Amino acid sequence: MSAALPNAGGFQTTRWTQVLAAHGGTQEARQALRSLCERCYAPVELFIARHGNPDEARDLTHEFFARLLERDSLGNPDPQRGRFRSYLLGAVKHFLADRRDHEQALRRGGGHIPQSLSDMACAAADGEEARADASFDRQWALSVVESSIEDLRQEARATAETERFEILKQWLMPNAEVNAAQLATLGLSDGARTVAIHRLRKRFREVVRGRIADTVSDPADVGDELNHLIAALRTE
Amino acid sequence: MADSWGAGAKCRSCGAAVDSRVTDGLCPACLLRQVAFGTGEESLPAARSWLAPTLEELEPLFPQYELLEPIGQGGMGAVYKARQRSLGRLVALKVLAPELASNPDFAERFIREARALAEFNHPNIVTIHDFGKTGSLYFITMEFVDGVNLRQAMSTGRLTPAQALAIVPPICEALLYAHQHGVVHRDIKPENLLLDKEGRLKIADFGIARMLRVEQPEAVAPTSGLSHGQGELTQQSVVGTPQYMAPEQRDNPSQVDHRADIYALGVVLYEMLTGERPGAKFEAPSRKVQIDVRLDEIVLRALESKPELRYQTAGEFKTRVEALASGEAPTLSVSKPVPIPTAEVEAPDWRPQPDVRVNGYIQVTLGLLFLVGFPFFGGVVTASNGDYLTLVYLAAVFGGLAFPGIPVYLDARRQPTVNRQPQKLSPVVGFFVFAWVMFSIPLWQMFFKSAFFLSSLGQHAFLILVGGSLVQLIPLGLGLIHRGQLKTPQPPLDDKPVRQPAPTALRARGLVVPAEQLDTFWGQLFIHHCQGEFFLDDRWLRIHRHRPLPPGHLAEIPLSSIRDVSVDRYPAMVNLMGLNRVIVTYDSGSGIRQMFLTPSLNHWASLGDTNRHAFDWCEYLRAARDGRSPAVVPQHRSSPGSRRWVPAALIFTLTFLGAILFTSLTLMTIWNSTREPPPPQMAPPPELVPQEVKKAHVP
Repeated sequence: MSAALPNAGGFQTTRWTQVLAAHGGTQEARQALRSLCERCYAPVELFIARHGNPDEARDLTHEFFARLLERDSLGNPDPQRGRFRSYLLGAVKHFLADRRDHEQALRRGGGHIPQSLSDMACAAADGEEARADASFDRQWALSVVESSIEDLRQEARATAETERFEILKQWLMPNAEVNAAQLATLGLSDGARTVAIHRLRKRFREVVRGRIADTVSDPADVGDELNHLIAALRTE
Repeated sequence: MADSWGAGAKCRSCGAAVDSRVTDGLCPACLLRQVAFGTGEESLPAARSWLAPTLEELEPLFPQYELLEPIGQGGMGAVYKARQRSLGRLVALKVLAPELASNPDFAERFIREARALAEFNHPNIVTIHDFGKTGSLYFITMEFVDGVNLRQAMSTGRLTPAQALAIVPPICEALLYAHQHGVVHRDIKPENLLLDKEGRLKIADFGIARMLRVEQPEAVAPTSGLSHGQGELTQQSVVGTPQYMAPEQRDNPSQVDHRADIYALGVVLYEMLTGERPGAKFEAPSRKVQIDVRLDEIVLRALESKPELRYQTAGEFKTRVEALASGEAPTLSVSKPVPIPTAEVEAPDWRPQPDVRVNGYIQVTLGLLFLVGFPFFGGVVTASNGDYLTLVYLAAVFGGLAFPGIPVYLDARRQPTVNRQPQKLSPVVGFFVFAWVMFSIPLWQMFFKSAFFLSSLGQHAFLILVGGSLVQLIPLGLGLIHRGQLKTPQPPLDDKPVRQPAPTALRARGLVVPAEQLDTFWGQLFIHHCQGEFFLDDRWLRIHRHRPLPPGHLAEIPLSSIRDVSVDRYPAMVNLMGLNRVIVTYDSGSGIRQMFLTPSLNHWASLGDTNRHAFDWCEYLRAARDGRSPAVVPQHRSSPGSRRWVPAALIFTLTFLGAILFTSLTLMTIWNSTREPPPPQMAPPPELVPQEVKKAHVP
């Protein structure tokens, strides 16, 4: 697990950059895309469930990823193609719209209606779309956090420090309040505990930044994306 | 204890709801903030970002407003939707973060800027209603725009070049207005460009950037970011979104003038067109997406790194964009795969069609030249024969031959026409015409020296055919000139529309031409290789062709994948008279393809009827694609349905008879000249001939 993570500060070419550079065409790029997709199953499924029949969501999600990975190229650049998150959201929407169109086409012989500016404004202002997007971003942020914690847990398991991790992880939060009994089970001196917490936090930052860096095209955008995810978590 | 937080528990640091089922019960926002701000020290400060006050907290401070809901929030402020109790109108209430006001001269700057903004009165600038300080909070109330910002609009779907171009002029107008009032926005970005439900654009946050400016020499120009809840959470982005900043704004903020806004708008336009922001090195937009190359120049000029090379005023920018948008909307080339369908881009004004009209003028001139020269030429011929009756005879024949051209001219007058870019005579065609003329000169010389031409019969036959066809050029040429002058841009569906309940299946025989066919000279020349059939039902357009379609094309096109249907004319190389084609642009799965269809009516159909038929098909295809009732139903007639077949039949018969007559006369003359030995003294006695023949035939 940890081997799959980029080194701290060393992510000059991110996975998403690889995918973008090859337009998804090469074997490496496909591999990179596949590993990116593996991590974002949950937000996509929730998004799809929100837009249609929740019972079908799992199947549709499978179908969506299968199609995405089958494709020869990434298709047209997305207005915000800088981010994998935006790309994936666009792709899911496209996928759902395609399905809708397809169903409608079966029913009444097609119909692409050119979108006017005010239509677009209306559709966007409708709120539903914006709420769905916000919810997708929120889920995305959650999955980043969750998978990063999971990475740390795996690393702890590798060194047989799972129990210690389960207690230490609370200090990932500011103002952690840990009860005395748990502190005792750690069996660490104050100094050693401080060092352990410090290391855990540092590692957590590396992991999260690494994960985010994988999904942006320019490493300089990590901070920006991080802001976006924090903001996404605040809107509910 | 982490696990003691159940669903609905609150984070102790930031107060957000925390779900114990995910992220180990830790507050994800705080965790991410830890990642964002963490500097390695053990005691992480509580989130440095400003926490927007809740509605309940604000209510006592703003009794004059009924606070409805938060719209957006960022590190430096928050925006709320509110109703002004006195007037009942909706307003946007912006509250600035208190720490911003800690700067000693903030209050003064705030008041100065707000007053300047309050004087603004422009339809494309968000109006300021009120501003002030209540408690420790600075606030501004402004017009509430019911809609989205441009960022949100872009995220819902890609903007077409036409839409992107439509957005620029109103922004330019607003910028021009503000610049004339001495105010530079400094923070033009999609988040600050609001789009209301009617599609009107408004610029928000004018002057806020300046209001919030930290007056320190090293400070880089800040952003407002107040309205839309993004950015400004980490130190990294406190300096703003540099992608929209002009270079001089980044390097030397004190030197910024209105041209920085023009740069930022250039970035926005670039992003709307390509979906990306221009980096340090960026490509021209047309190299990234298929758009009019003339847009490149417009965008790149706005993005010049030196302010003096950019548009000097927003008005200039606007003029350039409008000229492009209104003159010729960025059209897409016809026969190449394009990422965006043409979506019925119609040239707004009629333009003449030199290819047809020049042809017509040439024909009329030739015909008139012959008519003028005929008496002289005829005089020479008749004088040589001493037979003046021949002159009368020839004149009558010419008149008769000219007659079939007249209905063709009348037919041309009824033809619908289409707008078309002027087409130049291709150099290849020009070369072939020239080569033919040069090559034919010796042929003509041989012909004029031949015994056939020297015989009286030969001269008469030559005069009739050449003269007749030349005279006929007059009405034909007039027809062409008339076609070139037609000003109707769309088919005048002259007959009453036949209302049909729903599109029904249709079938037609005719030309089925993949766009690639016309890319080559030989392809254009051998267009008749593309004969085929097409069937239309409520789901598919199916194509049967005698030759297989080129790779990439579908033999069965689902109607839902048809992007556009339009009518155009084939290039002159294919049909000089201007044959119409129905252009079907569709998504083949592997790209956008184009197919040209020319349904044929029947053998007697005139060009005008065939062209009208193409228009009917176009309308019918569009109706079938859109799932609506068609205005017309193409009527395929297996038998002549109108009396126009009479002239058509006449032309056909006369040409046919003329060809037979000419051939038989030629053969007869040649036969006679070979039978007749030239020197009389060498002639064998007449009685010997049959014997010799007999001998020759006896082995």
